[in-house]
Amino acid sequence: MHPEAMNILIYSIGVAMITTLLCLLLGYPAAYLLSRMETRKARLLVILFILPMWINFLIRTLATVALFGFLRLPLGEGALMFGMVYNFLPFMIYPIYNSLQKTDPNLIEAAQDLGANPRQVFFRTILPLSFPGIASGIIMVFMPVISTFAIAELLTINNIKLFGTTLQENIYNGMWNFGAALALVMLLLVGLTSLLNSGGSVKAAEEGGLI
Amino acid sequence: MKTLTHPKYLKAVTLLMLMAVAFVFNACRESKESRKKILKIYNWADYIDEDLLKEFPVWYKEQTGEDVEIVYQVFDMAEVMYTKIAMGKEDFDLVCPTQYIIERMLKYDMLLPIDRHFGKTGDYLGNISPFLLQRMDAFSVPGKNAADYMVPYMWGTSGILYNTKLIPKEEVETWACLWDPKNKGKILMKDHYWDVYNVAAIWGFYPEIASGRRTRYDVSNDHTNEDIAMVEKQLKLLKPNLAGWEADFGKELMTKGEIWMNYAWSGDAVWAIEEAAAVNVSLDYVVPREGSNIWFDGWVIPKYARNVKAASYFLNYLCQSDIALRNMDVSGYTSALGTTEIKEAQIDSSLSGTVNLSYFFGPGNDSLQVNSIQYPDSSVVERCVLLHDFLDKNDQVLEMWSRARGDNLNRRMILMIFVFVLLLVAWPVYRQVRKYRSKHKRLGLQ
Amino acid sequence: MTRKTIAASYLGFLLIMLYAPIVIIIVFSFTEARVLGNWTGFSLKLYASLFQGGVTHSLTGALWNTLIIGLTAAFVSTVLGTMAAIGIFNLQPRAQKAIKLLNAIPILNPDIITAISLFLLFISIGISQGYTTVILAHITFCTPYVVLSVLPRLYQMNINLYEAALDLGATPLVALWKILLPELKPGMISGFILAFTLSIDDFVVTLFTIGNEGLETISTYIYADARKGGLTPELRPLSAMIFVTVLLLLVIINVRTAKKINYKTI
Repeated sequence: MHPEAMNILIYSIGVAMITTLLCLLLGYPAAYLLSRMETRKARLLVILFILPMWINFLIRTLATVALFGFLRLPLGEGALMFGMVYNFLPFMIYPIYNSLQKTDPNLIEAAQDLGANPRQVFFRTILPLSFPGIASGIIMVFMPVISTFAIAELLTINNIKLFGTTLQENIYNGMWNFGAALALVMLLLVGLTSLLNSGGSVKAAEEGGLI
Repeated sequence: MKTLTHPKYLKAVTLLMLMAVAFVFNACRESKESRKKILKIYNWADYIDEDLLKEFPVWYKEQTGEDVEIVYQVFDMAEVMYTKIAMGKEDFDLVCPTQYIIERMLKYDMLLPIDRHFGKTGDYLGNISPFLLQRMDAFSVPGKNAADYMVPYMWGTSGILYNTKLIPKEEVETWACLWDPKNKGKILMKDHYWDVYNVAAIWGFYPEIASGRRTRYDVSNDHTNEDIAMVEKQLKLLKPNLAGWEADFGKELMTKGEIWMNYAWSGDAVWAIEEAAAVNVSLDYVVPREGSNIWFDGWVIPKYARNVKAASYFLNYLCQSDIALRNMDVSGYTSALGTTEIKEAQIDSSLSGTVNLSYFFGPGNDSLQVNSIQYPDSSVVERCVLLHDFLDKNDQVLEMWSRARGDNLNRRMILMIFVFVLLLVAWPVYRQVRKYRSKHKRLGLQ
Repeated sequence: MTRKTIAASYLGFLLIMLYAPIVIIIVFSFTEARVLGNWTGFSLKLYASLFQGGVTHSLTGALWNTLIIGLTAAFVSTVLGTMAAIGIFNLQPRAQKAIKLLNAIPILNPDIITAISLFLLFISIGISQGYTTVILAHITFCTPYVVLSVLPRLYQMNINLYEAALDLGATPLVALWKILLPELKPGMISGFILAFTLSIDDFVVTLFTIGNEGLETISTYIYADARKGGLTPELRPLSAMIFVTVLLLLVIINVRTAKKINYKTI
């Protein structure tokens, strides 16, 4: 009956995956570098990373549209990805930074003393210890991207619709039953994500300490 | 610090908090008592001179001796307004939707008649141009005369706003320019199914219109399954040519010269042309020769309204020429009033060319020097149809619209998701296998 | 040395990316053009008209509403969230896990679902929508975040302290006030800030619960505005000023606390 709604859902999941991955790839090194810094300096920088969120996201997105205009870059899929990463990067950096900062330096020293080279120290000690922060960051980025609207509308001139927009349009156009069904699909997805995490999300969010 | 921890103070704090909660709940109950003195207006953003909202209570007091306080709220989509009233039964006294929502509301019995007993106050509703009254009458349903329920506010045409430096006028004088592959990526369409349907229908059936087999009115208003299929076909052909579907920001992109053509409403066009001129971009507006539509936004009193008297007086207030002129200034749109004052205020001798407006201002006004975008010539009006709401076909058209707009799922994306999921599944399996192996190794060594 | 430069330039690159759009807002708050991105010469007119008022029907009103709603919702949800966290902490492990999962669902749930559900709920129980419903709705979606930021403090603290206080004759309330709350304070503060940030940035939930009393917040104002005729130009200086104020505030707080810490360690 409505294949396009399902396709939009799958597309949104794809966009959310790419955004989450990009945020992770960009955010992890940043969080790592921050956690290696002097606490006072790091705290100031972390605040600088979070500060843009105090400006309404719609205004920020409109400014992003203007930015693309200046750089003569076309609006579309690429702009959408930039907008998403731009909006959600702080949500990735913060929990990872928190869990990295809580890592006991003695553990790292122990690993070094036991003869691990820097690469081994990172992959065998630091990275596994920051998994809760990563999990928390992924959760804070993945689902919100699927349900975001406005960002996709503005940055692709309505060419790309994400699931949140579809849901909203249905409600606005008085198709309440269909909208409610779509909302239920979304809720199932939420349940599935948290099940896949098998309670890990809760723990992760706690340990990652959302701010 | 110590004293604060005393249980007595804790109790006081708790009590204070409870009182605060009670106060909030009380505040919302109290508002119901004085409801008769409140007029709730729900309007498009930037669509009225907001100083009028302060001046009206003074005027109302002079006319009736009663006090009234205006509660003003704006909406961004007529559909949101409709949802809030139809589903939420919210008690707005006066709303200003576009004609198709008005038609739907009248048809589904969601409107109250305007109270035209104005006492000693003059009845200014007669200032509305007969041209719009006559069009509005098409919305009457058995037992309900449209004129008793709605007051047109602003009106205009739909057409193409274009950049005069980038595309010649001859090309945009026909809808063909939207489907022309050489304009690919330079066109913005409105994300608004109600009137885009009309463009696709008129273009798709133009051969039949030209040969006289069907009228423009029929192709746009029959809503038969074949008509809807034709619109879908045309929209799907149109889609690859578009830079995007504009809901909010088409006008802004036009002023930056990135987009050549934009399907626009005349009032927005006036706004955009002015704004573009400030940054030396030259825009113009044209209604293509195949035809388009004339629309109006109007004021109505929804069923759940609770202050019909003040609402009716406010409508009467808006229908005075001087007030209408102020609203035109603010919004850039064209007032529905057809009075001499309005006409004289619009004449600008610096404009070249004249417009035949006898259809709007009455006989004898066949060559006025006014802005031909705000006031289209009678030759333009002849090819503009009146559009009805889709009514019970609405869901079907919305589904068609959603199919035509389509989705962006492509093979690349599916492949990527597939790889992702595969990795997510493979990773734990791989780790499990490694764990198992190393365990065996260790056991073997021992 | 080179490593440090690379690190610094990487962070710098990310910050430039994050701040480029904001710089655009600030730069274009000094010109009069209605369209963001068009430059019609330097002018302070937008700042002037922002302070004179009367240009826009309720931009300042909307700002106040946003602040009041944000502060009330943040305050109430901090109280509720802290109480909930203490309650959860005292449950059996299995019940704890279940409640924590329930608490996570509203966080993972998209705004729009929360918005529609609340809209339907308020209609069906017949609460007239307005300040009350917006605040209730904001409390609803903020509380789980507060729970999440308070709980870790509870797990980290030494619960024996609380019990010792009780043994030494303190009433539970006094023990709560003197032992528990000071321990939880950092978590509560960050929960409050998070709740406030979420509340002022929220659009969807507000739109659906705002009712018809003429209430407007900054985010609904912006959205209604953006649809027709483009963004009100005065929003540019307003955002610029909010941003600079918050930046200065945070920097000052940070420098001061840092000084305090230094002082203590010396």
